[in-house]
Amino acid sequence: MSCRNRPALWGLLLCLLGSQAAAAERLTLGVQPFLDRSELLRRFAPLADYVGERVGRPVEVRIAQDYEQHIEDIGNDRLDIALLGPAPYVVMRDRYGPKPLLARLEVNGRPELMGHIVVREDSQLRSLEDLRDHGFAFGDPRSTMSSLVPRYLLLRVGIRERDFGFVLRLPGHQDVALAVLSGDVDAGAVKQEVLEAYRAQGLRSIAQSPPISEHLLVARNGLDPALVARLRDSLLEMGQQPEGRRVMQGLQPGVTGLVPVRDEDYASMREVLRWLGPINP
Amino acid sequence: MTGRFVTAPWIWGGMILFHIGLVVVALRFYDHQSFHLYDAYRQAAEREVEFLAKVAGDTLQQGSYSGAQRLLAQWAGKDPSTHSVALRAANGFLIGGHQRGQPAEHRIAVSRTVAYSYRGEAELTLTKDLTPVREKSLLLALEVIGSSLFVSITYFVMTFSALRIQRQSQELRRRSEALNRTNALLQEEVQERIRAERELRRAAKAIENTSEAVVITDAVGRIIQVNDAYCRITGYSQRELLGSNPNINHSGRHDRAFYEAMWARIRENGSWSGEIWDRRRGGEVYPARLSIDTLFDEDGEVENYIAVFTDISQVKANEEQLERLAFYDALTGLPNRTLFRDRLEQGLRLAARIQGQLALLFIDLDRFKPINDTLGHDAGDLVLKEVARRLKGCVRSSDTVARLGGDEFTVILSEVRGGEEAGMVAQKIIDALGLPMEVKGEPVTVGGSLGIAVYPKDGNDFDSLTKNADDAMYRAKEDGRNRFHFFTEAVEKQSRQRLTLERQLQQALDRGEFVLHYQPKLDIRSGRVCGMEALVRWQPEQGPLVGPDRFIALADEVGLLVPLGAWIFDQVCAQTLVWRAQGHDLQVAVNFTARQLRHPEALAMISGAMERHPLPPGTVELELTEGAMMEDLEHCIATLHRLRALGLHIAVDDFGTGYSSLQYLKNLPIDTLKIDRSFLQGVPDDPENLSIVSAVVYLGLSLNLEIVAEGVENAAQLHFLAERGCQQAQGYYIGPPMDAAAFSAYLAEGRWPRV
Repeated sequence: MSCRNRPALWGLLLCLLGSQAAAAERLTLGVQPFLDRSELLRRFAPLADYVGERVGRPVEVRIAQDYEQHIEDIGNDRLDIALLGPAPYVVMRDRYGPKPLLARLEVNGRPELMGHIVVREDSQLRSLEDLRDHGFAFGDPRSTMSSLVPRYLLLRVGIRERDFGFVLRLPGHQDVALAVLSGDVDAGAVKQEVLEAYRAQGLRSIAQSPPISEHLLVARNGLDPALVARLRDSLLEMGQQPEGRRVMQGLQPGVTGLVPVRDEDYASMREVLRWLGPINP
Repeated sequence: MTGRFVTAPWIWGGMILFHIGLVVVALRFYDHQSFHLYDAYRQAAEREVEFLAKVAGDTLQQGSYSGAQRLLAQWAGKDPSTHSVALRAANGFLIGGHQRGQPAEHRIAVSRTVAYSYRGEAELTLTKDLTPVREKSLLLALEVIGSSLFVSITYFVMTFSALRIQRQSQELRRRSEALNRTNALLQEEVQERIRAERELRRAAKAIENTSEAVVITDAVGRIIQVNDAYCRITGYSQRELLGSNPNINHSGRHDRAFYEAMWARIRENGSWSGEIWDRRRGGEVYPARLSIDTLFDEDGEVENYIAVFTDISQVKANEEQLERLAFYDALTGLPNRTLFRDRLEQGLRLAARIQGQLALLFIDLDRFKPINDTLGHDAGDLVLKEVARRLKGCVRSSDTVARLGGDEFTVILSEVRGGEEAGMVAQKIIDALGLPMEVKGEPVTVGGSLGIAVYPKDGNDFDSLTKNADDAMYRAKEDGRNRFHFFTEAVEKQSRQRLTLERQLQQALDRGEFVLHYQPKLDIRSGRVCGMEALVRWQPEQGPLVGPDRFIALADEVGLLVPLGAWIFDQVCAQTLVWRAQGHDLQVAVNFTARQLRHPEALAMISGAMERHPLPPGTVELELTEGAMMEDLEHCIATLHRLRALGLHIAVDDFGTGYSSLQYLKNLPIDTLKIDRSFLQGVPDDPENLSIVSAVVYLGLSLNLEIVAEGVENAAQLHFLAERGCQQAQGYYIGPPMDAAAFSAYLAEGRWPRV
């Protein structure tokens, strides 16, 4: 009858509460595999923890096998929260219908990307039509700005890949810039930042893409609307808090905020994909 | 004579010619050696540029211009003798490179064409800084020329210099060979790793069930398998971990050298073990005992690394906790029963060796129970602490004061001169305990009754001495408390009287002097009485009613509890059957002890009673304390399962006062938890008890158990319990224990309170 066993009982209750909390269902945060797994985990685990702490549910990072799998998982509501690029987003949206949108990235103060077709400063090439029969370099085929958008720009003036003398596919935007400057190809496609970085060494733009909205985060259909609202609020507030800013910087250098997003923001991307026809994202 | 010879013109001319000749020879020698030096350097540089061109070409071949850039910058940064590296495209564009400081005056530049597919062709130029070498050989030449003034010395210097230069060029050759070898080794290692990666096979084993964290990586450190314990300890999920590197757990408390030494040891011995600080996903740093082993395939190549570790922060904390719990009483900090036994046995051995005497004092507090009951348990705890303090003040530091439990204390007086000395200490203790103390602002006086047994007179081993001290204490208590008694013949006589009491109990059973009382239980949801707890009382032929606390322990000790239990069971079942026949849907609870549970005839006794009285399953409930269940857990689980098969329900009585372990709630087949009455005290005002009751109710609901709150004494408590979802209530507010007739009236008149 004595109360002297209270510490034991408190211990039991703490265990119990602990196990209850652990039992609260985990949310999943899906990420497309644009880097190696360890690196993605290192970058996104802090975001998962940050969001988890603010909505009171543990969040687990999931990395898809490939882009197609990622789109399928989001479309079939197998991920509670997901980050995806503009092109995969449009493909997913058009294939599976709308999802609650949470926020899009703002990089160096802009929530949009821009791409350019570049040549050497001393090149005779002045317009896209001049590129016929010349060597051209694209970046990674999955990349929006060094592959999809330039193909769209070229298609609009009637140039297909077979109209080039030859075509290179290089790993990154920088490689494209260097290949053009080395004279290995006559022109190539890069994003705005890379053009700026190499302009002084003799890179020149002959065509500019429409602005393409940045990467975004979406939620699953069927997720409690109150929870979706909390998720959205916690993401949009990140830029105003030191901890949030630290987490964002960890995602990708130059991220300055997470800002509101609407489906209309991806109209230009949708237009690009419409021109390109059915493609693999 | 000598002077003429020295000044002779032909000698001068000869000397001048000789020295001119020497200078010419020295210069030619310098030229020659310089040429050799340059040549050796050039050869080394050629080999280097060739290797670099090949690697850069491979990188460009993959389209990675930026990769080639990084490669060249790193290469040039590594070797201080490299002045510059430059990779230029055919159009002159500098794809990548690196330059150290201003262009040197003396250098070797070597170039290679780097050819890669498409139409690309670039030129790789490597410039080596020769200034230090050049300076060194020039100095040598000057030495040679200077020394020509002294013919004999010149010879030695020249020979010596020649040797040095030769050694240097040899050294240079050796170094360039070493460079080649390093390159070859590098290539080999790359190949080896590729092979190891290809040959990687999973060494999946049944490791999921171990409580230690296990992680298996491939030869290059990527995680291919982890068990649940690993996920639990590190905080990452399995999906997150697969493919990652275990270094995400690094705490940052160890420097690079630590991990390098660790891996050096693994490479050398194949394994490593030790303690290490790791970091959880949430950032918490913890100590772990880690061991890493290497698995080799048939060819002796590394196939996997297996790391096993335990989070030892918990282990360490547990060890300390265990040590403390095992030997010391948590409340007073005095030695507990275990340590007391150890000390007494030790004291007895010592006394036997020195042929001395030892006195054992048993102390039982008077008037402690009323304090506990009126002022609450925390007041009781304060009193016990104060008593412990006073007892320690009465004895020497070499003596032992221990708390055996409840309000029972004991003192071991080692090396006493005899009974008188023990008596003096005993009186001192009684005086000290008799002084008033203030608890929660209330003046309180407890007293003590002491029993004394002296080695070797009153017993010469642990058992006899403690039993006799205990008997002496009983005697003191019955003589009117606040006094001490030696274990004398008279005390022994007293213990015989206890035997008489046992006989009386047996007679009481035979004569039917036991009666059953019933305390109602209210179903809070329906507001109806749903059952009762049966309580046994002893009504001797003469004298007042005796409560169970006076005879149950004794009956238990002397083994009368089983026949008594059989009688109780029959009575209870028969009575319940009667009330049910009158239309009352009642469940009856019967208390059961550990001894009864263990008794081989217990099952037969109960199943007999159940057969004689056809009650629906679930009508009879056995109440067992946590302690009773824990005594022999395995046997208990088996017995409880059999009892349930007979249609009985099982309740945990006085829940919260014993082990309160989640483990037994999970493992034992139980239906009901009875919250101990002590937790209802002060509810709903006492915040601590309030939380405990809420949590136990919540616990019961989550485990799908019926919850009965005991000791309900007012409407506010009942209201609080209803609010928390507690199903049943028992206590004076619902109804006191009543004999069968009174209980019938209670049922008929509906005298229970409304929720």
